[in-house]
Amino acid sequence: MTPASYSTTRMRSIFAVTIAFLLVAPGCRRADDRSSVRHTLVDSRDWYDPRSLDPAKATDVPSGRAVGYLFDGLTRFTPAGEVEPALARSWDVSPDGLRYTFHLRDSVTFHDGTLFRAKHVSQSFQRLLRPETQAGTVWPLFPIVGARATAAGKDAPLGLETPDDTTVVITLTEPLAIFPKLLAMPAAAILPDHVGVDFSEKPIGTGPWKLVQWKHDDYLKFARNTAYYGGAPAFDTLLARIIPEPSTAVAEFEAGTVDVLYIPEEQTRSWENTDERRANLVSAPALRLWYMGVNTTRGPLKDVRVRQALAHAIDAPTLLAQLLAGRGTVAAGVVPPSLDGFDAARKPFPYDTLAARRLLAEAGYPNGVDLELWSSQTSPWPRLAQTLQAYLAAANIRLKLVQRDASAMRAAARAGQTDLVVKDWYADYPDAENFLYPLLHTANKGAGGNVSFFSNPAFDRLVDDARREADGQRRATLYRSADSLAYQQVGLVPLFFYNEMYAVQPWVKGFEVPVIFNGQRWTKVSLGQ
Amino acid sequence: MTLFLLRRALLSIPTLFGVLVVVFMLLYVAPGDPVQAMVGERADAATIERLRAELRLDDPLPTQFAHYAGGILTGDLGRSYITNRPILTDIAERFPRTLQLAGAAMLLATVLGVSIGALAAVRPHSWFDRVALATTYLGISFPVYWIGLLLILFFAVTLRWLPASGYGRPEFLVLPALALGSRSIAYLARVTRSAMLEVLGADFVRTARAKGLTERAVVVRHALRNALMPVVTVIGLDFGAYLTGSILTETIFSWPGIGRYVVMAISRRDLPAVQGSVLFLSVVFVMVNLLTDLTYGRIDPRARKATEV
Repeated sequence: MTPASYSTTRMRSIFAVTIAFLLVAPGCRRADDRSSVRHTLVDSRDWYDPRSLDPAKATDVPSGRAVGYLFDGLTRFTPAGEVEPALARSWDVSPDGLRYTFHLRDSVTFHDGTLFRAKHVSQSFQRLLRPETQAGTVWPLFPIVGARATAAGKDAPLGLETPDDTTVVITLTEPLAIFPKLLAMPAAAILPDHVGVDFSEKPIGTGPWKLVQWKHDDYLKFARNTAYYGGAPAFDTLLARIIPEPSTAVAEFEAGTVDVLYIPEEQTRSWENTDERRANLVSAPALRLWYMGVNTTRGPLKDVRVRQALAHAIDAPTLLAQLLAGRGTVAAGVVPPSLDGFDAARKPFPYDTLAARRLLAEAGYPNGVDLELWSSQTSPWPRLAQTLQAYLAAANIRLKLVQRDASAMRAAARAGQTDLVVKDWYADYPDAENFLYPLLHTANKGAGGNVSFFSNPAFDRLVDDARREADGQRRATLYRSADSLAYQQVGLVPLFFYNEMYAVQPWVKGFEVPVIFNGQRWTKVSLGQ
Repeated sequence: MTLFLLRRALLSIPTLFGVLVVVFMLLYVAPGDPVQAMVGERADAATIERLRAELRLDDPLPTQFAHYAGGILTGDLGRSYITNRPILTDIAERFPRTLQLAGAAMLLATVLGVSIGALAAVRPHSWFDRVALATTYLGISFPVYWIGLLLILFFAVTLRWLPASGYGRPEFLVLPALALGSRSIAYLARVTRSAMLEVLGADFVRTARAKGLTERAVVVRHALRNALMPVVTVIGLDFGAYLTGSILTETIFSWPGIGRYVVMAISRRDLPAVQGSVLFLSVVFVMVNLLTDLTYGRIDPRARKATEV
């Protein structure tokens, strides 16, 4: 052996050992995971760390979900989007619709063992409203007498009484039939007596799950609350992993290491067209609208004919099929098909470029118009914006695309600085009101959600009447009329209602697709073979 | 030596102050503000105004900056606007994980890259050299994103040997370290090879061989050591870059490190979080550079002079 070959051999063996170590070191991890799968459900739907587990600050979807595991409100949502009693056993409404009497469950305990009492409702609502709490979402309580004043830092009496330990009487400023739904939102969760500065890290609620550990940007681990009044969950541990990259979540699912997967839009076809993948799919129409906000106070968009031209110029069915793999239904209004107030008879504006050009000419723009279309930078919005640009160009509506991150886009749209903005709206509570009122009512111009700055007295009246109407049937009729009016006036251009799509491992039993973000609390799900 | 360190430390103060000002200005002129993220999709104007006032976002620019810089001077990086957690706690939680990943990637890159490079140089134009050259070409050209997904598909989905992503036991480190280090492995191999080739042709190597030293002693003790300067430079630069956030790798492998933290903070306009972490990472970068400079002195006596002033 020459010296040279000796040294090469030596180096080669070091090299080989390193490689071997890298490949073999991982060992047999699968073995112990197999058994733990039965007791732990791994959810991969969160793609960023929850902002806070303090319900007052839970303004994003991951936080809202986690708050739903840890806390209860007086009411809650089922996965299908029905409102049902939670900490309140039942409630009565006074004939004038102003007074809600909630009868509370009397043997519910918080995770620390304290008994839940009516005072906790009062304390929690007061806390949410007080300015020093710095809550992000306070509006769900605004219907209560004195709530707005309290939120403004004034010392006003709140319309909330606790005649005894298990009764809460809430007085509203005006009748509001959907009020019980507002109380199922994360912000209205009921907290224990002591809420310290680290409450977000050590939350105590009455919910079906207790927090075990929160590793920021990594996972949240929950243990089941065996004393849960609504029936304890069927498995021990819920692990909400935070996986920022959708392709990684898909790989984890295929490796069998996560149990529930959100199917990214661009992968829809591949999941639907592969037999073994399709077997795991579950899907349901979500309460989520994709739309183009049309600022009705800017330039040519003040003219309803220009706005109608926009609606005519877009081939929504093709767009839906191509861009979203048909994952949804074309919208002819803002009220989703699964909610009361949806009108199946209303037909979308037909795709008709000539009609669009004609309308523009009638409005005094024979040479077309120039507008800005804003979108966020994250997929699939830029592609949607580009496609819209191509469609509208054919009708002589020339778009300049502006892409910003979500924060900047939202700020600009709220400030009325955008002509057109393409975005989505995900319901906070399952009711037609949650689409009509925030998106199009005069009271919500700007920050409230109405980035179209649409303001139509007849529409406002219909929605206001519906909000006050106690009778469900009559309310639905009013919603339908309001929706129809705004659609004809093109307060915004509704594009489609989105279908939620998940893949679920075969051993997960009883999973129902939540149509609302905090609708799935894993209490009816079990883990089998 | 002490003087040198002291001078370097003093020199870095204006650099860090500059970083502070630039980051502050960038976030100030960028559209959007943290309140948009704090209130969510549906909000009321009164809440937005109240939060803006509480965060002092409506104060004049110099007042805001003075308020912020004041906190830094007392060692307080403040609390995140969005999560209300102390920035220092956030960094203390995430930086060690980034350090772990960057360390593993660099270790892998140094061991593999230098060995491959040295082996290739010892036998130039051999089959090993050719394969190594071709592979390193690919290693440099492929984006880390693509390599990461490929590694996941192969080792986690097909073979099921390693976890696809996440943080925890040592096996979680293997794929991200390999993905992150891939470019460095390739680059170090190439740098080592060319430096070695140059050194192996030098007079002192011929002298060493003539003295009758074993080939191993010639290669390892004489040639490799003299070829290390460019290698150390590359290691220092890459390590600094990895430590200050390997955003893509952390994202693909769900690695809860500082890179993802900074990106999230920027997208939510979380001013204290961005400033605190950028400032911290600048300090880290300055320190890694300093360490690299000190290492030069250790390897090459000629460079020691500079550090002894």
